[in-house]
This record gives sequence, structure tokens and C-alpha cells, in this order.
Amino acid sequence: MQGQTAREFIIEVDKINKEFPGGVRALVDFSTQVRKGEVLVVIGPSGSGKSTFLRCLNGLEEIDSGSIVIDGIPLDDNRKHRLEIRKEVGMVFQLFNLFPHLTVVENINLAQKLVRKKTKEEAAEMTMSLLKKVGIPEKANNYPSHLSGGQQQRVAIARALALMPKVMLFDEATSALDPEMIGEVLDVMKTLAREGMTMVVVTHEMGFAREVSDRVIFMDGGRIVEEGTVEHFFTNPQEERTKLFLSQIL
Amino acid sequence: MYGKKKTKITRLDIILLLTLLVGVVFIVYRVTVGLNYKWNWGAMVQYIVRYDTETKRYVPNLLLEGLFTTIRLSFWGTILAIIFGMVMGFFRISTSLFKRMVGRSYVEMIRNMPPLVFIFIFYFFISDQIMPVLGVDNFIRSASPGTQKFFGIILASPELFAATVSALISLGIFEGAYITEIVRAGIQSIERGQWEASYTLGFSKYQQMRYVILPQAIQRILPPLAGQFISLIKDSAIVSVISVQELSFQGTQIMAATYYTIEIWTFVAALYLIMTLSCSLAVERLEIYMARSR
Amino acid sequence: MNRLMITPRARRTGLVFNRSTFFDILKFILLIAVLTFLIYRGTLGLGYNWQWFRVPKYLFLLEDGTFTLGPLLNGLMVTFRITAWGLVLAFAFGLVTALFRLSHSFVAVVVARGYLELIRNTPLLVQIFFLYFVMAPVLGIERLFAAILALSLFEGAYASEILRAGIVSIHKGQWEAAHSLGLTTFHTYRYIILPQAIRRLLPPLTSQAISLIKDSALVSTIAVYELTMEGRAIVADTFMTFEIWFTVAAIYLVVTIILSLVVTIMEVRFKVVH
Repeated sequence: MQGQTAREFIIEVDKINKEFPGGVRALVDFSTQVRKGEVLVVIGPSGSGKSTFLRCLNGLEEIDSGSIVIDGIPLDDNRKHRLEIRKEVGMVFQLFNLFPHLTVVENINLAQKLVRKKTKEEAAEMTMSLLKKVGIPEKANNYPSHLSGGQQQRVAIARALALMPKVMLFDEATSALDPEMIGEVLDVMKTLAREGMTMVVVTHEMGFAREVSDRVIFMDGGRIVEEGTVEHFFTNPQEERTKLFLSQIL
Repeated sequence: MYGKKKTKITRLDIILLLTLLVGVVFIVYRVTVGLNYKWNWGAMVQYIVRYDTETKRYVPNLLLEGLFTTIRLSFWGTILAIIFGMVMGFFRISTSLFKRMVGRSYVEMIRNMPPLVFIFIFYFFISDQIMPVLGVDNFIRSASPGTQKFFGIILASPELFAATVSALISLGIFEGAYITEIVRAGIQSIERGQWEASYTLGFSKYQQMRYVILPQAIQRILPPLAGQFISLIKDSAIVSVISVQELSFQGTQIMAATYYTIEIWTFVAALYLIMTLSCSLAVERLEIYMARSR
Repeated sequence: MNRLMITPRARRTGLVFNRSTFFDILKFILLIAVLTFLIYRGTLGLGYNWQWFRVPKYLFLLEDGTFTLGPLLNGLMVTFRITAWGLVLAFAFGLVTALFRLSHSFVAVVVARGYLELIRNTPLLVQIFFLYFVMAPVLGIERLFAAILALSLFEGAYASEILRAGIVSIHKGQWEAAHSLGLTTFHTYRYIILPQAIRRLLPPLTSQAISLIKDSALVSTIAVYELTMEGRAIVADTFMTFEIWFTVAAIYLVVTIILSLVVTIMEVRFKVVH
């Protein structure tokens, strides 16, 4: 399986199941495939399993059965495989999870040095170019607590991008932000999408989906209820549950 | 620290097991070969119980007697400590500055001193100065055999009576400082709103305490109090230094006589473990029971 | 006057200096004076011979312009050395145990819990005896090291609880972020978790140091010549029980109260965290 050059799908999820203690079935025979460069948006009510699905993709959550293959590497018990996947999959969290005791550049440099084994100079170069890209180079030597929520999230995106991942996961990246700051973060995400990054985005921001997503999945109860393009969802949703959910968020 | 719930054998498991194995082998080797130690676990039995030819029964020997003394010291010591602790605890939250100062000084003095030094001072002070004044020694010696036997069971035999009581008072005053803080914290943890509500309902200070504050505070005080009892069981070992014949003291005595160091201290440690662990279990049961009846 | 109980908040906003305060302080000083008087007269009456004038030479000697420490202060220096080494080792034991308890390795968790239960349920005195009379001959270590080892194993168990609580108090998101960046467990502890945890742990760890100083007195039972042992030796020679023990107690009090002040200052300063 490995060694093939142009893979068709960069993420292959095949009938994964996950049950939490207490009997909650977060994912039920869930399957999907994501192409390189595709922007997949996942929507659904809370408890539908969308965050769980995302967190299974880089190993934060363990699946009970089924298989996940990222860029040809299976997510199994092999430590090397898991490490490779974590390098190739970047994640942006709802609560940012920046390291408060490190400055912005230190936050972004750290993994580059430890995981990608770059030198101080190489890391610093990448960090500054990323900070420019997300629009806050002047905050390089500040501590996270001195930044606004939107700025912190942009640093978090830069931190994940610094490892040059092949896939970026966004777990409700703007849900914890004040409304006036959502835009600046979404702008960064849109730029990334347009540059061809493979993205799986859990969000409620349908405007974002409309602009850059290739496909939208609506999840409920751990399964895919409906999927299609954004236009499909706006103009012609099929399922009752889909219509109900959309009427609540739009 | 992350998520894998499957029980696997990790590298750390292997490393640790090997290290432990090497360690155990090394120690056993050093003990038997290097020190020429003659193991004699059987000898321990005779220090637990011995056959008394006079009464033709098995009577407790040094170790068991030491154990009983430790239990007595812990029990009565805790009772005394609770008395001191409650009084001083109320002092510490009193509206009178004088009382607060007294309470605070009591706690700070004791908590900033090693227990050993405190016991040295107080035991000497109490046994040499206070006991003669109270005539404790005379009391027990001139008591009827029945009274003597009674006190012998719950406290100590006549020869050791004054010394045990002195040690008891010293331990009680010492642990009382810690209980003071437990009581204080427990009462202060009751929200202001309880005080305010009962105040506006016209309760007097006494009524506030008796019907509103204390019933709630008691629940919060009991667990740490039980913990303090367990602490006292361990702290009672200190009085072995002033020759009170509790468990650790008996340990040193037997060691001096027989040199069976490993057996003795293993056994003594095991006895303490049994005491504390059974108390901890009882406390856990108590906490579950209390939580259920809420 | 219907004053409710004095809450910590009320107390912190300062004493109200009025007539009752003045009298309370006066009453307190009076109480101390009365107690001191009673003790003094009582002991004299029972034949005790107070000899305070003999005490200073046990603290220090000042002759010909050279200043030498007397036996008591020498003992204090030994206490400090024991405490310093004990702290270092206790921290090491505590950190390893905390990490073991948090690890995935079954053996590590069992070892850590076994160690903790053993240490926390037996008296320090018995542990000192066991280490000195049993383990020291076996391992070939000498008296002072056995004492330091016993103390650090003991305090290490309590330190491990403090450390573990501090580590666990770090928000789970930090672990998740580090995981998603591909950092190993070791890297995560070293660069992310422990640096944040240590900051919050300094006050309780300093309290641990205070405990260590007090517990170090117990090594006098195996004739290590720290402060308490020196005290016992002098008392045995001179029978000045009260004078010497009050002096020794005062020394411990001064040291621990100073350290407690340090802890309070730290707690205030470290509230201003990033």
C-alpha cells in the first residue's frame, strides 16, 4: 500500500466505531474518504460525534473497530506509524491550547525543533514567515495572555502549520471567540483552503463553508445523515433532520 | 499520560521488573552471605505471646503489650486532642481578640516545633511538675485492686500509670493544635449566608452555632479528624524516646536483647500498617455512609 | 453589638483599633506573664535550679575576637545540611513516584502505590530504625546517609502527592496540543507540563521543607548530631532540661517561622501568573 505515489485519497476512514463508557455510541460504522486538497466541513448537533470523528483522525481518541489510513499510513498500534501521522496531521482546538509559559515564537518553534528536528535558525525563519502569514508578526515576543482570542487562535494555527502537515483539522476553531474576532480567524482558514491544504473543519460557520468547502457532511448520532456540496445543503436538503438542524443554525 | 486504555506491557514495565529482581537478589545475597545473618522468624512468636507457668495460660508478651499501649495512647490521646482542639478551635474564631491570640499562639507554637522536642519539654514538665501536684501516682497506688485492674485495661498498670498519663497529655496537647485547625477550617468553610440567614431569623450566637453552623461543620470536620486519628497512631511512636512502653519502644528493647533486627522491624512495621490501614478502611466506610445519608 | 463571626476577609481588612483591642492585648500579655511566673515559681518550689546564665556558651563562644559556634548552633548547621540534602532527594523521589503513578506501565503504578502506602502508614521513627538497623548494614551505608535517606523517602512520599496534584492540575488541553504536535511524553513533561506545574508547586513544596526540618529532629534517635541530639547530650550532662529544651525549641521556632513567612510571600507573588 505504501510507496504508491499519487494516492487518490489522503484520508480513508472505513467503518469506524467508538463507544464511550456509559454506552454512548459516538461513531457508528462511520466511513468517508477525503481527497488531497479537499476541504471537508462537518456539521451537526452537539453530541453527534463530529468532534470525536476529528479527534480519532490524529489519535487523540481511540476507535473500537474499523480502520483509519492517513496518507497511506494506517493508524494502528505501531508507534512509528502513530508518530508519523501526528506529524502529518495538524490540529487547531476550540480553546486554542497555547502554551502559556512560552512566548508566541517559542510556542511555534518548540515542535519544529523537537519533532521536525530543525535548527534554531530554520525554525525561527519558518515561525516569522508564518506569523506574517496569519497577520501578527508584531506579537512575536508576547505571551499568549497578552493576546486577544482571535490572535491566540491565529498563533495556534501558525503553530500547527509550522510542522508542514498534509492535513489540518479544525475543531470548532471559532466557537470560543467573540463575534468581532471570528472573521480574522476565518480569513486565515480561507487562505489556507485556497492554497490547497487538505482540511477537515467542524464548524457552525456556514458562510465559511459556502466560500471554500468542497463537501459538507451532516452528522447525527454518530452517522452521516446527509452529504453533498454546500449548495445542495442550502437549496435542497433531503433529510428531515438536516432541515431541522439547518433551520436552527441559519 | 495519554489515552491508551488497553493494558499492554510497556518498556518501563520490563526495565522496572528487571531492576526490582536485581535489587531483591542483591539484598538477599548481602544479608545471608555478606552479613552472616541468622534468620529466625520463629523467635518472633515468643515475643508476641508467652506461656505463663503460673496462670497456665498464654499471655501477651512484649510486642502485643506494646501494641495495646499504642492503641490506648492513640485512643485517649485523640479524645484529649479533640477536647483541646474544639476549645482552641472556637477560640480561634471567637470575636474576642484575646481568645483569638491565645488560640493562634497555641497553634503556631506547636506547629513550628518538632514533635520530639515538644514531647521532651512537655513530658518532663508534666510528669515532674504537674503529676506530683495532682497526686496521680498516689491515687493509683492507693486505689482498690478492682480499680487498678480497670485502669490497667483501659490505660496502664499502676507502675506505668503516671508516665502513661503524662505521655497522653503531651500527645493530646500536641495533636490538639492540628485538630484546632481542622475545627477552625470546618467552621469557616460554612458560607457566610448561613450566618446571615440565621442572624436575620433572630438566632442568638449560641443558637446559630448549635442548630445551623455546627451540624454542617461536623460533616466537614469528621474526615480530616479521622485522618488525624491515624496520624496519632503513627506519632505515638515518638513517645518511645521517653521510654513509654508502646510498640516501637518494645521493638528497640527486643532488638537490644536479640539482634533480630529484620524480623523485629518488619513485624513492628506490619503491625502499624494493620492498625492504620484498618482505620483508613473504617473511615472510608464512614464517609460512604455519611454521603449516602445526606 | 451583634457582631457575626470574624471571617478571614474581615480579619484581613485589619484590626479595628479600639478600646477592646487594647484590653485584649493587655490581657494576653498578662496571661503570658502569669504562666511564666507560675512555671518559674512552681519549678523552683519542686527543687529545679534555673541556670540561664550557662546557656549562651552552648550557642556560641566569643573569645579573643574569634567567633566559634557552640554545640547547639553546630547542631543547627547539621540540621540544615540534612534538610538540604533531604529536600533534593525528596524532590527526586517525589517526582519519580508522581510520574510512575501517572504512567501507563502497570509495574510503575504498583511500585509507586506500594511505596506510598508503606511510607504513609508507618511511623517515621520505625522507618528510620528500619533503614539504619536493617538496610544500612545490608547496603553498606553509614549513619548520616541512612538518616538522610530515611527522611527523604518519607518526605518524598508526601512530596509526590503535591507534585502529582500539580501535574494533574495542568489543563488537559496542554496535553492534547502537545500530542497533536507530535511531542513525545518525555518532551511534553519537560517543556510543557513541568515548567507550568513547578510555578504553582513552590509554596506547598516549601511547606514540605518546613516539615522536613521538624522531622529531622527524629534522627537524633540514631545518634546523628543535629540540633536535637546536641540538646539531648547537653541535658544529659548538665540536667538543665528546661533551659536547653526551651532554647532548642526557640531555635526551631525562629527557623520555621521565617520559612513560613517565605511561603506566604511566595503565595502572594505567584498569584500573578502569566
